[in-house]
Formats: sequence, C-alpha cells, structure tokens
Amino acid sequence: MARIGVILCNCFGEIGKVIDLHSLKKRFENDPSVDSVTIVESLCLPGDTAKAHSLIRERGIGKVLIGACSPFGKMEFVKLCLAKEGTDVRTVRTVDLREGCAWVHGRNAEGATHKAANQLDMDLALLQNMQDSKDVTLRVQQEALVIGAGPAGLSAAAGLARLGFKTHLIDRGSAPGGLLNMVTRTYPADEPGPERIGSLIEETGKNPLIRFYAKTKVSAVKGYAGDFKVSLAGPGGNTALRVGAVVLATGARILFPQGLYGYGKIKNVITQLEMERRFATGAVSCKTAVFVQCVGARNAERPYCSTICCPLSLKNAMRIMDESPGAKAYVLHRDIMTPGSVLEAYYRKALQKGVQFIRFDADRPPEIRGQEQVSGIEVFDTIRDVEHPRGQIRVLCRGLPDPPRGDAKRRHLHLRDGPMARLVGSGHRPGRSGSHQGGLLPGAENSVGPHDEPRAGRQARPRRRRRRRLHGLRQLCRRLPLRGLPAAADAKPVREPRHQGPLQGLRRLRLRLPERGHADARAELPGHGRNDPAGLPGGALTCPPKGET
Amino acid sequence: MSAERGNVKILVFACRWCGLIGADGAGRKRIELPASYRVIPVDCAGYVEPDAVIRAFASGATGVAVLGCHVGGCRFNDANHPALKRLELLKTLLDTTGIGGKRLLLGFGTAHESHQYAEMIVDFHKEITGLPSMASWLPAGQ
Repeated sequence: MARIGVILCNCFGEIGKVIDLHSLKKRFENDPSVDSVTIVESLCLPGDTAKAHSLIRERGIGKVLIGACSPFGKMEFVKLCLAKEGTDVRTVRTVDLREGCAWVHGRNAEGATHKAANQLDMDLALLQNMQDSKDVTLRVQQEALVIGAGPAGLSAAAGLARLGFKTHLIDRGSAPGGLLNMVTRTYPADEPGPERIGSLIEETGKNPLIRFYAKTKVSAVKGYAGDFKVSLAGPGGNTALRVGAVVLATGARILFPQGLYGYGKIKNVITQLEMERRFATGAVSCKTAVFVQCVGARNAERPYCSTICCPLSLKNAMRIMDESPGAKAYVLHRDIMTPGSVLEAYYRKALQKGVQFIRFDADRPPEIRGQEQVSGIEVFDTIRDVEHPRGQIRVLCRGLPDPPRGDAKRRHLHLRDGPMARLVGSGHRPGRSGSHQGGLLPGAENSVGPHDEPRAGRQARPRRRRRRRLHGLRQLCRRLPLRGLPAAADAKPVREPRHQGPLQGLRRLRLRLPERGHADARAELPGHGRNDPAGLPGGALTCPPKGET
Repeated sequence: MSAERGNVKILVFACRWCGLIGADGAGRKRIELPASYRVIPVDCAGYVEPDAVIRAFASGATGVAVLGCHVGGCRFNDANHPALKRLELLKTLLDTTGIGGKRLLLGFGTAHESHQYAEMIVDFHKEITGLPSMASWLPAGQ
C-alpha cells in the first residue's frame, strides 16, 4: 500500500497561530499509513512547492495529503505547480485549514485544532481507501445505421460507405428516394425528382457495404453512442444490429391543413404534393391558379418558415403557365422567401414570366368562397392597399412540412446533435437562429422534393472542413481511440482528439473509488470539476492548442 | 468525531459551486463561527443521498446541513430540486423515527452570500444546542 505523505502549511502563521500544527504533526505521525508529516512555511511559494515535490519523490510517497488553504485560495495553483514538477496530482488531496478553519475559529484555538484534525482524518481515510482501477477500453462498433432513405439518408449512407464503414440503410417505404419519388419536377433546374437522386440510389445499391432494408422500422434502440443495439422490424422478421452511430434522416411529415382555406371541403383546394401527383398523371389544366403561402406556418403553433414553399410555389406557378397557355398564376404571400442568389434569380424569372404576387397580412388572411368548388377568393393587398375580389378561380393551397418526424425518435434515442448522431433530412430548416427545437437541424428541404441538388444530401454528407461535426463515424473515430479501425482510402492521419468531446477522457479513464463505505463517499474521476485543471488527466493537459484540430 | 463542547456535531455537505464558496467567503471575512461543524465538499447538493444523511446521524452527528445553490440557480440546471424534495421527505422520516427533522438543515444560497452562510451555521448550531441530547441513542463508546 502506498505510503501517505502529509504536508501542513503554516501560511506565515495564518494557520499556525490558531491551529496547533505541531500537535497535528504528532497525531498523524502515529498513523501507520502515514510516511512523514512535514510543516512548511508557505506552500504556494516556489521554494516550498519544489521542496514538497522533492520530498514526495525522494521518499517514494504514493499519496499526498495537504493541509493548507481552500481550493479557492491557492490550492489549485499549488496543485498545478506540483503537476508541472511531475507529481501525479490525482493522488493529492487538499484540506482547507485556513478559510474553513483557522479564519472562522480564530478565537477558539482548541476547537479549530480539533476540527482540523477531523477534516484531515476524513481525507486521510479517503486516501487510504483510494486505489487504481484498470484502464477502461470501449470498443466502438464499426457500423452505422441510417434511418430514412430519402436524399439525406442516401447521402449519409453513401458518405459513410465511402469512408469504409458498413452501413445499414432502412426506410419504411418499399424503395429508396423518400418523398422525392413523388415530385415530378425539382426547382430550379427543372428536372424530374427521382432522376436527381438516381445516381445516389445506384451508388448505394451497388456498394456492398450498404445494406438496404425496405419497409422496415426501428422497434427498439438500446445502448449508447459507440455501441447501439438496434432492433429492426421488417417484412423479413426482426433484425438485431449493433451499430456505433445512428443517423436520423427521417425527414418531414407533410401537413394536411384540414379546415384551413376550405381544404378538405372544397374540392379544388389542394396541397402542393397533391398537385405534384396531378402533374405526374398529367391532370393539371386550369385558367387561374392561386398559391397561398405560409398555410399553418409562421404562427404560434409552428413559428418557423420552412424556406422551401416559396420556391416550390414559384416552380409550380411557372409550370402551370407553361403547360396551360393563357393561364394565370397568383402567389398570395406574406413575404417571398427565396434566399441565395440562385433562388433570387428564380424569383426574378417568375416575375418576368408574369406570375402575380400579392402580399397579404397575417392578421387578414385571404378568404376562399365556395362550397364544392371555389367561387371566389378575397385578399387584401397590403402593398397596394386594395381588395382583390376574384371571380372564377382555382385555388392551390400550400401543404408544408410539419416538424421533423425525428422528434419522438430523438427523445427515444436520447440523441442530441453531436458527433455521434445527427438529425438530417428533417423537412424544414429552422434557420440559423436555431429558434425551433433548440438546435440546428440540418434540413433536407427536399424531403418534400422540390429542391435540386439535395441540400439535405449536402448537409448529411461528411465534408471536410465546414461540416466537421457531421462527419459521423470518421469524426467519431477522431474522438476515440479506435483499435482496428479500417483504413479508408482517403483517411488522413488520426489527429489528437479535442477534449471537448462527450467521450473525452476515455483514453485514460481511471476510477479511484473508496474501497469501503465512507461518510465522504466521493467518486474521484480525474479531471472532475471544471476549476480543477491540475486534476485533469494527460488527455486534457496535452490537448492540442486551439485551431490545430 | 470525539466529544465536542456542548456535544454539538454538525456535518455540512456543501455544494462546491455555492455553499463551499460561501464558506470560503465567510473565512475571508473572518466571521467567527462555532467550531462544531465539519465540511464535506460535494459537487452538487443533488449528490447527497438521504442514506448519507442517515449514516451521518448513525455515526454520531447531531445535526446535518445540506447547502446547495438557490432553487432555480443550480449549477446543474435543476439538480437541487430533487435534492430539496428528497431531503424534505427525509425530514418527515426523521420526525417519525424520533431524531427530529429539525436536525436536518437545507440551505440555499449563492457563492457570494457568505454572511447568509455564517448566519445559517450559527443559527443551526444554536438550534441543535437547544435540542435534547442524542447520546442515549448512540452505541456505547461514541
């Protein structure tokens, strides 16, 4: 058993004039586990710190008990100095004899000495029972699960497979592609939706590392980041998987705005997705099309903008004008959201084509008249300050994505956006402000299909610099000491992990626990407590300087 | 712990984010306090199990104080809420067993409220001094 060295600091008499250090010295010298008791004048002075260190080294003392000032005084500094000298500060315990004892019991020397002895006893007992535990090694499963095979899920799976990880891709539909399968044309390139991700589907289909499970749902998730135990329920029965990471790319739910603007009652009030279906069957011909924006969105219930509806309406408005010559298209909007130069150009194109834009106020939304069919629509134009009564008109009502389906799953998985699990493919992007759901959800706006180069895909795909936190398994490997990590073709040397990661310190996780029950049953994790820099294991002390990772 | 003057032995579990810093501040202000209490720093008041409190009483403490951050101001969001609930419940149990809920003090304060801390310790010391002795409860020799 390692011998314990006791060092008592006099603090230039601040402690010594109240507490009888010499009686304490005598008391602890009698303890069989104590190697020696040393009284120093002021431990925080470099000379005394060096002296303490050489004492520890020369006498081969394994554990050190220091009675001096409080941790908020100089003790953290002293620990830091000792660590610099080379002492293992994880086996150093400090007891507050100054602020918590000598200074508050200045008129009660006897009581103060007694209290000091008690407090030292407590930490001495802790040191006596403290022992090393073996290093803990955690194996990270070298496989990943991607839930949802929309553009985002496909991109994520393809990216993971490119990095050399076996990937399980599941979808509740019978074929990959997600909602994009239902979209006939994408904006702004005006290409058929399924073709946009054709190459991606081909790649994921060909890659032997990717296994696709159709009509499959997740029935249970257990475990933790690095080793999830997942049960899948599919047509082929239940499948049990062990994966290191889960990518939630479940996309968005389409909102069917029942009761709004007569949807559900009036026949020709439809959602964009229903319109896509009509486009697919070639059954769209109308003289006038009116697009109502922000249906059920940007209100108290759903305070966000999906940012996809406006360009989607522009696309469909232009398409109707193209396909039915002489048709008119109106977009009733609160404000047009076409961010970025590409979409801005798209908006201008729609203006040139003659799409009419009418801005309405949220407090005074358009009114749609009619029983079976739309007989008219009234909207108050806030810019021109006039009413627009319309005659025979066909109304197309925006359907918009609801909050991401991933919510329930996320709670279930206890997932947070982080290096291990990433929510991708949610149907809307709440914007940089992160106002919705309290976190950034990299969105697959195109989960309702309209967007070209799947932005979701771009966000889900592992990228080199900008999306560092999206790296999935590769990133995970950087953070963890992986054994037997398959070397990907483009793998770079694994760099030193940043210490902020959630699993930091795993490399050197050593537990020191009191052997027996103790009034002060404190588990001592090295590096526990933020104001305890000296207590951190090498992992944190040797972390690379900022900017290097 | 051996016999203390007035036979008051108080064990203080002090949260290292608030209570302990308050204690530290009381020391810096040289506020004279009764030397009847011993401090165990804990990372959060939420770590203090009722079991630890009962063990403290079983091993001879005549009073236990648990000092945490203000309710609503916990370092770990709301970890001291369950601590408060648990220990309030424990007070009832202590009343039932005859130890008396008064022997358990729940204190909430911020790091700079060292005067409040000192006042709490002094008052608690006075209160425990006024209570009947627990000596007959203890096994011989303690």
